[in-house]
Amino acid sequence: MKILPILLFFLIQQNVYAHVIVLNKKNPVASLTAEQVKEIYLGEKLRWDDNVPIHIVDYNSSYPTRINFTNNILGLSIARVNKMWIKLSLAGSSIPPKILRSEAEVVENVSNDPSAIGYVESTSGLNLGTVKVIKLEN
Amino acid sequence: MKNKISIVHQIFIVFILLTASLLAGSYFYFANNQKETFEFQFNQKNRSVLETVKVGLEIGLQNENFEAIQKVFSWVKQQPDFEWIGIKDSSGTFFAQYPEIDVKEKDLKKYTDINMPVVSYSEDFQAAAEKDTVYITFSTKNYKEKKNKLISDVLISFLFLFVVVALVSLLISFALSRPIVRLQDAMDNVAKGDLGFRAELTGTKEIVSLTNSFHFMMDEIQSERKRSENLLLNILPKVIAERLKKGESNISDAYSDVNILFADLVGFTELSSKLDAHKLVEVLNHIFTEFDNLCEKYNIEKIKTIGDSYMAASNLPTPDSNGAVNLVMMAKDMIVALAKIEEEYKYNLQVRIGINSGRAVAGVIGKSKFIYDLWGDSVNLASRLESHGIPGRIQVSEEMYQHVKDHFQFEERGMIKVKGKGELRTYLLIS
Repeated sequence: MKILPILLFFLIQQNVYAHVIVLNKKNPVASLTAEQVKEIYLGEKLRWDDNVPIHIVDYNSSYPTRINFTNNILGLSIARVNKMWIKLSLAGSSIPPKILRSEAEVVENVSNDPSAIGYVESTSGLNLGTVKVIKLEN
Repeated sequence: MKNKISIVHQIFIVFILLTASLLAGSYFYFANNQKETFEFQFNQKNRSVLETVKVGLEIGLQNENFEAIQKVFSWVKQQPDFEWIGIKDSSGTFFAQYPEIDVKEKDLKKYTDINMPVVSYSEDFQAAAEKDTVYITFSTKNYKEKKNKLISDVLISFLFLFVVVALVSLLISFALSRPIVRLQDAMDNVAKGDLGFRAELTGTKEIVSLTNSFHFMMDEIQSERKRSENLLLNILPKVIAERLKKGESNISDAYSDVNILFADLVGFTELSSKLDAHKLVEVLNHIFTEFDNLCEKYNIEKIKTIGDSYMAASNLPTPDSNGAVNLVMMAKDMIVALAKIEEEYKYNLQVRIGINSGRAVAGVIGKSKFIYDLWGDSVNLASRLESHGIPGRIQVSEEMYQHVKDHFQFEERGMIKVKGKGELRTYLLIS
């Protein structure tokens, strides 16, 4: 029975770190840190290293994957992030995120757009073979 | 003159004031109307912009479509009257705005003429409370410029119109006042002495009637003047009358050789005691009228009558080379005329005539009851020649004799004593 708490811990750990970043296969980026992802999703980094504009793919505000991602990875409230994107939309200097309804849609979108970036929480039932999966480096 | 503004100016001023007030009235009405129209258009247009933004944002926010939201923002920024857009959060701060200005909600009015919250939303797109609000302001600069341009264009056209109307009214005022001005010119001419000047009979009924009255009045004045001139000519020689009319006074001209005749009716004093005054004057008038006719016939200047004496002269005031001969001819005719009158009335009347020639001064002196008269020794001598003469005869001086001896026959009478002159030789006319 000693194994149970270890298993639970592992599960929780798995749960916490469940998000994986998906990129188009043509994207030369091989790895991303949590900090880099945060910069992208908060509109601070607008271009890839080869100067191509970053196309952000995201979920709507009530989608659990989004809520978890925003809270855990970005460390901010949904409202705060939305407020920031409204501000950026008004300034007109950045490309706002594309909001999709499911992880399958995100994967499909990323597979079709070389400059896109998205994230998924549960990989089950997804065809991740069409995209480049990147685990966040700590 | 109390009123110094001419009729042309008066009509002109009335026209101008009328036009100016009409144009000013229309201008202010138009300007005010245009202001309202522009304001209405401005409000209409920008309200529809706000509506579009509102609908666009609502749809964008509902779907969390940031691309759509960004498009709406970028569209509104391109609107011609767009001035400012700001989003206020629930804490009351404008966390996003374009362009960036230091604005508080209470200051919004200062920045704009129109402001309106477009749409409210919650940042998490779910919570009903704690909503953000979008504000948009529009600039009235464009519409004000457009309005001012139109109003200034209209002002310029109205000013142009005013100048045109001013010119036209100037012409009209000239046309309306021309008959009066013409009449005034006619009166000015009359005032300058041209009594024969007549104005043209044109213009309105009243002007024509006025002109006719003026002409009638001038005809009357002219005929009166002619009558008084004739009266003056009856009293004075024409040249002398002309000089007096021109303003000369105290005319006295020296003549070196004038012929002077004095005639006295012998027996008239005696007759005057027999006849009543009226009859006497009638006879005298008859005689002197005959003498006057003879003066006219021989171009002799009648000078005056003194009681029953008659004085005339020739070679003055205008020179007459036959003056001396004419005067003697007249003297002869005077005797003949009197003989006829004597026969008619059966009164015992004769005329005694003396003629002299020489230097004399002739003219008009004094200031009333003008008479053309002669002065000098020659005049006195002529008078002496008459008074020392013989009834029914013509007695002449040596000087006169020398003038006319080739034309008439004379007999020498001898010497007569003249006061201050001693004894002088005289002649009596035979034929």
